[in-house]
Amino acid sequence: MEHSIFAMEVCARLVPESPLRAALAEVIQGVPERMNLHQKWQQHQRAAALLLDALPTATRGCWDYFDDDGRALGDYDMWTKGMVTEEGVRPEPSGLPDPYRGDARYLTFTLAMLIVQGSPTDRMMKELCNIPEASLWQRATFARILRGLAQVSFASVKSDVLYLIPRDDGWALTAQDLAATKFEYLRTLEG
Amino acid sequence: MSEQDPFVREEFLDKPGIVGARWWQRSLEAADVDTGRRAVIGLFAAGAVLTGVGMIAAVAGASSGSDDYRTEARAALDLQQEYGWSFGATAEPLTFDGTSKRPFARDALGKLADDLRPSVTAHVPFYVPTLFQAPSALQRNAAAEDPVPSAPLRDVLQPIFTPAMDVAYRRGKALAALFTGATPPLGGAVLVVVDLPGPESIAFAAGAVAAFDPVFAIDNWPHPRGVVPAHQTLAAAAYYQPLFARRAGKALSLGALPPDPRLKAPPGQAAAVLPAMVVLDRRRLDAYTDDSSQFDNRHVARVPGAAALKAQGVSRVLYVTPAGTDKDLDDLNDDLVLYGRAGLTVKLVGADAFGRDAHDGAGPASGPDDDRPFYYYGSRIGSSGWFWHDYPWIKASPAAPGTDPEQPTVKLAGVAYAPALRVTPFSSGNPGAARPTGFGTVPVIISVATGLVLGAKLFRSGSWNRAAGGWGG
Repeated sequence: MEHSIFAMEVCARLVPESPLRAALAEVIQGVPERMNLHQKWQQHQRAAALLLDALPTATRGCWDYFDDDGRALGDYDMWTKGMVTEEGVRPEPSGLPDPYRGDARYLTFTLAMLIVQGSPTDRMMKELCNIPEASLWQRATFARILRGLAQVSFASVKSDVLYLIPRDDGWALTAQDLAATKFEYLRTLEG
Repeated sequence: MSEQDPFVREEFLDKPGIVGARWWQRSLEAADVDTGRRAVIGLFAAGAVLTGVGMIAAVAGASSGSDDYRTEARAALDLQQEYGWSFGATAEPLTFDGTSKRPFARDALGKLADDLRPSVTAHVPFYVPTLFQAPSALQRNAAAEDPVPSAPLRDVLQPIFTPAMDVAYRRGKALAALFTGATPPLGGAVLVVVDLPGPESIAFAAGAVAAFDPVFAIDNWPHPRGVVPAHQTLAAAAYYQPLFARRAGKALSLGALPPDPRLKAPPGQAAAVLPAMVVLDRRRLDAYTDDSSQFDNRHVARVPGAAALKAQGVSRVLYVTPAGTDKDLDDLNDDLVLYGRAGLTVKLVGADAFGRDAHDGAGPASGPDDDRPFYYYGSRIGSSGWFWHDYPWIKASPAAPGTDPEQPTVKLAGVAYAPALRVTPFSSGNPGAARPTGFGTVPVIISVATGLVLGAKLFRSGSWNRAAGGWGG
């Protein structure tokens, strides 16, 4: 069996008291340890819906699709490391932003799937992600892909990973955090 | 590991700085090592492509893909409106018989539903524009396993004009001539229901526009594998679109005529001047036997209810069938019986009652807009007025001053018709209640995981059938 990978990460302003962070956390925390295909699809649909709503306030993002087996396995490992090694997580709280000073806080939400290469879902994703170079980082492109996730059959998804940084408001990412080299892969969203 | 819950969370992190989890579907790895199974499936898939739908059905039925997919019957029209008019057969062409060579404004197809709208306001509620909306409809979604979108119908539609349409047009004109010359005018007291094969129904209505307000009620879309050749009907409508569009303008001026005092108009509404002519496609119930090769785009007739007709002052109904010997079609039986029970006079006339007079000296047509030769009731000029003898809704008018109409020399069997209740798959004495199971539906493949439509079943030879036997995704 060979694999393809699809991954997306969205970075959005974290507004204190906004339900977005809690809702995204619930997507991960509020599901059972074992899930059937429909529950898994519902989980991703919920995440996609929240991210679609958040796109207007999203500032940066990244997405990938590769149908090369070696790259898929390697990249899936890399995306997963973002969670298991807590690579993007602050070592200490950033504290709540001062609303009078306007210092922004950010969250990132990441989803990645290891897909059975050549399956109908893989072909659908390949078509969905066939985006012209000039449009790669446009919000409309992210929206198109997020909507297209409704077509995924999880029967063809071998593994998936979802993670949110931060879980608590006081650990949100700052603009300074995002300026670090390790976040360079997040592109500025256009449009 | 439970087969019902194949995704198992193997990593979970829940800290102030991050919350995340990774799930694995290990059953896919188990399937991966079963190379023998995969090889067999691959063989099946190749065989399916070579041997057609029967083999594909066998593979799909025998494969473990049924854990991932299920088959459901969905309403054909709903599927077409969602996934495109040629859902499941996007690569297949439509074949038009009798393609017209006349100039044709393709852009105007976008206005078809408007141009063919009834011009009498009171008739608009009975208009079913479904067929005419198809050319300009936009595909809303793509089935996961049907990535190729339908070509816009307006880009592939060709107007047609067939010899049968030519005859039907002249027959419609002959009927219109009788009503135009009726004294006193019958106005909106009459409803005509034209139930001919689609293109001929359209042509009949086109011929009759001088005396009637066509109310089209054709409730399906074309499909390359359609049971009902609705594309031919649509193509006929495209041919006559300019005529209907011109007629709409003419009817507006007719609307300024004094209302017929005999017509009961709803309070606050102007009385209808032109009688309504409901136009149906008689092939709507065509036999359907093979869902592996056909798309069930059949539909049932939708005609105004008796109460609605009476409220508009209609007291007589003339049902037009291809021949006088025809009976009412099954799906109209309930309605026509109820018309009779409500006190409406229901009569039937075969379109074949109208024909050319072999002794007509009018000569051949001189051009495309010359309607000669004319058709007459009983196929003779002298018998034309006999129509009002057979359908005594006005005093028969003579063919010429001082002469009585001649009785047709051929027997016109439709005169003897009276609606009688028949229990059929489409009639039960309760309009709208009877429908055969699965009527107007198409089997589709649904993803068990998502509930989404992946594609049409069986009559396709595309990717789903191979995938269903292989990796199930």
